[in-house]
Amino acid sequence: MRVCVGVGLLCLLGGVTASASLLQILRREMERNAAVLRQQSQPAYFIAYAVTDLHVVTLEAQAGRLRRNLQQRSRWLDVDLRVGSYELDNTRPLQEASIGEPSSPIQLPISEDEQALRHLLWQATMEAYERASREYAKVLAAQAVRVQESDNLPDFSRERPQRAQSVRAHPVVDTAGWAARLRQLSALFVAYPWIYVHRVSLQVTSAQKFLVTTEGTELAWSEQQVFLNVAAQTRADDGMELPLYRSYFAFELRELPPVEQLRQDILRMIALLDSLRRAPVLETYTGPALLSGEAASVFFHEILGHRLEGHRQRDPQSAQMLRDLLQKPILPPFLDVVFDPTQRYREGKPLAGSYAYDDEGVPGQRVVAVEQGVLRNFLLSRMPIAGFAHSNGHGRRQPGMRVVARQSNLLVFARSVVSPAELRQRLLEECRRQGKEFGLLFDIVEGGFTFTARTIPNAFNVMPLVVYKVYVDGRPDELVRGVDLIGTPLTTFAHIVAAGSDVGVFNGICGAESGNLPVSASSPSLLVSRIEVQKKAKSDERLPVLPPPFVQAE
Amino acid sequence: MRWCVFGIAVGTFCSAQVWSPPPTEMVFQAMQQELQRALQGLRLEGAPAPYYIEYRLQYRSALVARAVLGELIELTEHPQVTLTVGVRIGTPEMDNTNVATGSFLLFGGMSSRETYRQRSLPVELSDTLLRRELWLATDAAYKDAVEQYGQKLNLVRARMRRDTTPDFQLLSPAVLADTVAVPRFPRVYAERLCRELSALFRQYPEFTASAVGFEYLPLQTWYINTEGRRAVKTELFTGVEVVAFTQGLDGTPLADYYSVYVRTPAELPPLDSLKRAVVALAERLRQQQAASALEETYVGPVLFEGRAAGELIAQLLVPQLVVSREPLADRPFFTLRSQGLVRRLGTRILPEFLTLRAAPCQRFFESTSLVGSYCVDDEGMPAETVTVVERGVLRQLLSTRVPTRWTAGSNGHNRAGAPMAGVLEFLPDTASDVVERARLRQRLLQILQQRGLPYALIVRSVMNLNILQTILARTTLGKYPPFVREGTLPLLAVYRLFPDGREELLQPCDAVGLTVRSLRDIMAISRERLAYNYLAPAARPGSELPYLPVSLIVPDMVVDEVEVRPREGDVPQRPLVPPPFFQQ
Repeated sequence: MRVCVGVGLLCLLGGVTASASLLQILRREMERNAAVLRQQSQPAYFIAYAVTDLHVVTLEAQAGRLRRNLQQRSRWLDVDLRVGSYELDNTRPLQEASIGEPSSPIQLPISEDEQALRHLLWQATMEAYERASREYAKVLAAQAVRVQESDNLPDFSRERPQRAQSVRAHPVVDTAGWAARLRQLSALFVAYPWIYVHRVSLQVTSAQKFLVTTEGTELAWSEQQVFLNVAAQTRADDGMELPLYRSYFAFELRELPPVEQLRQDILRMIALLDSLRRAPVLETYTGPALLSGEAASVFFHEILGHRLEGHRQRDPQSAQMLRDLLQKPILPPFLDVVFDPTQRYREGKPLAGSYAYDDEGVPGQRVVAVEQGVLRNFLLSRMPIAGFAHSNGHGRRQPGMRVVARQSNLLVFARSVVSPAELRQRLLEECRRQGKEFGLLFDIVEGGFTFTARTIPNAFNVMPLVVYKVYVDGRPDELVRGVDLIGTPLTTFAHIVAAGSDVGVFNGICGAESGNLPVSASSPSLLVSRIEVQKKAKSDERLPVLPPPFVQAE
Repeated sequence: MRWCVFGIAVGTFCSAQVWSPPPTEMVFQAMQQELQRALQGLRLEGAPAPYYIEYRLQYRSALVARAVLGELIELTEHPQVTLTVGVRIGTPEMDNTNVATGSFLLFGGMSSRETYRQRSLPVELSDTLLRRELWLATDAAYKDAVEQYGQKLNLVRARMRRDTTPDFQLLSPAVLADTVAVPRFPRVYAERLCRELSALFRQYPEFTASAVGFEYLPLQTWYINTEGRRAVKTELFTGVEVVAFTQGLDGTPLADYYSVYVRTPAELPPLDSLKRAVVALAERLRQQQAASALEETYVGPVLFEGRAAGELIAQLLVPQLVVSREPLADRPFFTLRSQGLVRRLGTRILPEFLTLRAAPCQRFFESTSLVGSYCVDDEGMPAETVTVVERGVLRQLLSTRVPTRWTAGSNGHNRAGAPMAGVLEFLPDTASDVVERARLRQRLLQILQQRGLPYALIVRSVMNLNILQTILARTTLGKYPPFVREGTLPLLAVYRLFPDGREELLQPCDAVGLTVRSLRDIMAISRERLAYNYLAPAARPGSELPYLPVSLIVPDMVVDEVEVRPREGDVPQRPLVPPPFFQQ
């Protein structure tokens, strides 16, 4: 134990020294460039160098054997350079290109060699200035010929510079030990030849982030995520693919469940897959439904979360559905929705959307977005929106992408709850009231997607993996397959009638304009008086012609 | 330099397993068992059973390093296993292949059929796991074959076919092996090589960008088919690439490269020799910053020396030397744009003093290792030596097992699933137009004087397309134009040769309007030849790899009537801020 502590301390000290040196190098080159670029006729009024030092360990197993075993270390540079002024700059959303010209991340050496680092910083800065100048010229041209935005908002908020250093050393992962565990877990699938695809994988991502800006921000901090994923897929006789996923998130490897629990979960997954392939197909349905806590979490992430992202309120291509509903009710009064990157656990479960600073160097902040059903706030990066002049620490991106407002940890709180049993009872009552033979229970979902643009219907689609019919006449619940939960946001919100006392947590990777980012959503289970489902896109692929070559375990 | 398909994001420091391919006996046994099972039982009701099945399993391990200004930015080493399955149904006269139908999956559509081309397999393979993967991939390939066959029958029914060439030709069993021990290459040496070579650019702080890349890619292939043909082979590839980019005093983008490709790391030139090459490259680029531009279009004789001659042939001739079957298509979109030189068989395409031979199994030329070399192709066929051009006349093209109107069968040129050259050797005649290298420049001077030209041009470096689209594009952040117009040869190092023998380095310019026909205007060549190894873009659609190593054995050559144009149009401004360590 002492050895470990000692090593950890040395690494931490080493990390701090390296980060101080790297920050100094970033600062020196930034100031040299800024001194010239500030003086141009199209002045660069803001420059930020963001360096992400990534250490990723990926292990993946199949049928008791390793598919992949990779340890990758890389360091990426993003240069955010703004031409113009805080009031009007090159990032002003335009009708044609609302997220600006694409840029690519620049790879930096891992070392602190000043000449190599500064040369690459310079090269990237020149490229960023040229790109920003082109964008700014387009913005100015558009200003001259188009109707002005009614809000006349500035393009960039003024925030207090931050200075802090809290970099942790990248973790040392016992890859041999984890490889053995993954082999052991993936071997559980071998005895089930009707499971055509399966993977058990572990990914440990450690990011050291460094940020220096011309405003005086100088930050170095760390983020770490551990995902253990199990995926398996079978196929029904009618060709429908039936996947199941199980994802375990942790900040540290030691927080992952013990192997025995993982084993039991996999065996349950296999049993559920077996039931699923025999389950009947559900026809289209409209009526009451129960969403488990996990399903409700994804439901809120897709339906509400993405529509609260601040930049959409200024994007001329976005439907801006919630923009004019500020201080108005959008949800039932017993629900609050909060986004909080500073909250690391809920109900003892780690939350993947946690961070100390966002990617613009603004401290992550708790944002009460909906209070007693009333819309109070949006998720904000440093792009101001009407009524909100400052960031609330939700500017996020994957290296190489431009920062926009993104979700962190979405937390749904219910002010009045009922027990799960009572919630189920209320589902049955609602079914009877509507004259339905059964209601639906959405137990496990794989994710979802939503459309927020003006040019297409503003709908959402939540993709359930496990759905049950809950019969009014007391028959046992019946597993069904083949439907997606669909709808339009405001109508669906209006049909939420009750919440359960149980809370489900969904940790995952969310993909949007600024790339793939870890997020979480957690919610109590919900009773919705009316939902709509549609048939899932289905393959018509036949089962393999020949039987599998082996049936016995390897 | 990517000729290998990587399953992960590039640009990392990565540690993984070392070279440990599965045992050959286990691989063949598993393949044989699944072939047998499929032949005996794989049949959908109402559809024909397969008459031919083939499996190709490949294990490759890539060691990749990249450095900038003495510092490593990428070091990865990881193995990869892929499986490709081919299934034919119908008869060899007409089967499911050589058909292109337009079925697209529009938004919301889905295909959940298992992958069977370049299917990624676990790096730790067991016989049970391999058989399971073969089972799923064969099933998917068969189902695709059934659909293709149905579509093809429909197409054929509506047509009076002129081309009745069979789709395939069955062969007798054969067992081939072309394996070598795979040398281990220490990562530390790859790291040192990249660091030391790239550090040389610290002496050129005015350059906008520079980089050094290294790759070592051993590849093991197991091939088996239902004819009883099986082959196992090892291929090795090692490469070093160096690129640099800057701007002339007038803003003209200037880039150049140095590359060396060999089979084993031990065949690389010594580090000192590589360093000298890098310094020469840097010095030439520095010199070019103040060089003058070609004032007007030049049309006349051009001497292509060494690697530049190789690149001329690589871009103009090599892609045209393969023949492939034009697929039966339901719309013109799916037909091949070009069939290379098939319609010029028996006609003169080169001067009479040149013969061109494809010799894919040739390992060395003089002391230079040939990276395009292989003795067994990717269909398990022996790589044959073929006289492609005999005393200027096109005699034969490079083919796979797919019969065409112009070729009866394979001459062992299936590489990565499509026809492709491996090693091509120019054999000069003893004609008077073949002279010693030292006399070739003299010959150019004579021509210049005879015609009363003010100068002629010598080209010593031509942009390679792989370099342009991979390491250079990445290193320059896309600042150097990544595309080359068809028929244009980007000339990097061009020298003006005056009648008095003086040479003047010019800014980069372009040779335009070049076609294979231009090679008939080769006026003279050197007796000495150079082995030019490079990574060639795949010559035909359907290749599993975007680039493949090819070797050319080429003389220097004087080509007449080459049109060379200065680069016109605006050039980007020079950087507003000078590089950090550059003192004006």
